[in-house]
Amino acid sequence: MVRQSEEGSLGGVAPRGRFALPPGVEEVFTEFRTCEFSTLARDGAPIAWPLITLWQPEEERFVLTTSIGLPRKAFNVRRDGRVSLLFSDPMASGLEDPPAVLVQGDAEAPDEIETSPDHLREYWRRVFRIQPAGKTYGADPLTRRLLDWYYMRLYIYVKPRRILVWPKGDFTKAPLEVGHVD
Amino acid sequence: MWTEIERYLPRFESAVLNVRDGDGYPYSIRCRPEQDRQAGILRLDLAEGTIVGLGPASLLCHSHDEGLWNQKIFLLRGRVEAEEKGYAFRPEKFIPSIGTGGIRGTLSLMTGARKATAAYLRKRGLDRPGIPWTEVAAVKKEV
Repeated sequence: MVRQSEEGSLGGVAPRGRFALPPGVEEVFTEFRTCEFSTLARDGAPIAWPLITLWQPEEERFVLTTSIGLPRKAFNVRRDGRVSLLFSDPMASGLEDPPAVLVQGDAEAPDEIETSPDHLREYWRRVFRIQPAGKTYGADPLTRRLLDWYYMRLYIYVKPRRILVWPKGDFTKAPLEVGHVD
Repeated sequence: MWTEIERYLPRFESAVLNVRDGDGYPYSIRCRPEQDRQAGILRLDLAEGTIVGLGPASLLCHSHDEGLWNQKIFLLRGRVEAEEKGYAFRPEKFIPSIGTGGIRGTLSLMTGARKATAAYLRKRGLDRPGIPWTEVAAVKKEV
C-alpha cells in the first residue's frame, strides 16, 4: 500500500526536524486553503470536515481551531487524540500539480476558550488572507450579536507521526511514505 | 437520505473517504464513488492493492471558490464493506452543512451553534465571554 520515498522523487529532500519533508509537501501545508480534518467519533467512526490549518515548522505541528459552537471535533480529540489531515483539494492554492498529502498525528485540544486573535495572530492573519469575505463576521453590530460565537475558539494542536504523499495528487497509485517518527 | 445523495453527490468531482488504519488512526483518501441505490451502496474506485479498514466510516464532499467562499459541504456517515472486487460504502446518514441544506439548513446551523455555545459555557459555569472587536478589526486591517 505504501512505498518508501526515494531522495529526489519529489524535487529533493529538505531535512526539517524529525521529518524529511520534500519542499513540495511543505508548500501544500502552507498554500492549500483547507485540509480534511478527521477525528474519531464516540462510535469509532472517523469523521472529517474541511478546516483551515496553520503549519508551524519550528514546532513541527499543525494548529487548527473550532468554535465552541461547533465543539464536536474538540470533544473527539479529548476522548481520542488520533487524527488525520488530508490535503487533497488544491483549489486556489496557486500550485501546479501539487501532491496530495495525508498527515496522521496525535492531537490535543485544551479546554480553554480563546476570544482574541492575539492568541495566535499568525493563524487569524492566514484566515482573513485566504478567506477575505470572512472579514464580514463581526464587522457590524448585527453580526457581532449573531456571530460572536464564531470567535470563541478552541485550539487543536497536532503533532504528525506519519506522512504519506501521492505525487501529483494521483490517488490511483499507492502513496509514498516520506517520513515518520520511530 | 438517497434523495439527498442523488441530488448532491453528482455535484462533486470526487469525495474523501475516511476510514481507520491498522493502528486505529483515521486514514483518508480521495475517490469517485459510484451510486448503486438499488444495492444501497456507493462503490469505491480505490487504487489496486489499496487495503482499507472495514466498519464505521464517512464520506465527505466539499468545495469552495478562490476566496474560500461559496462553500458546499456534506458528510455521509456509514460503513465500508468488502465487495467481491474492491470496496463499497454503505451510507446510513446524510449530514448537510454549508450550501447543502438550503435556507433551513443554514438557519439550523446558526441556531445550533448558538445553542451549543450556550451549552458549552453553561456546563463550565462560565459567563458568555466578550469579543475584543478592536483586536479583531486590527488583524483584518493587516491583510
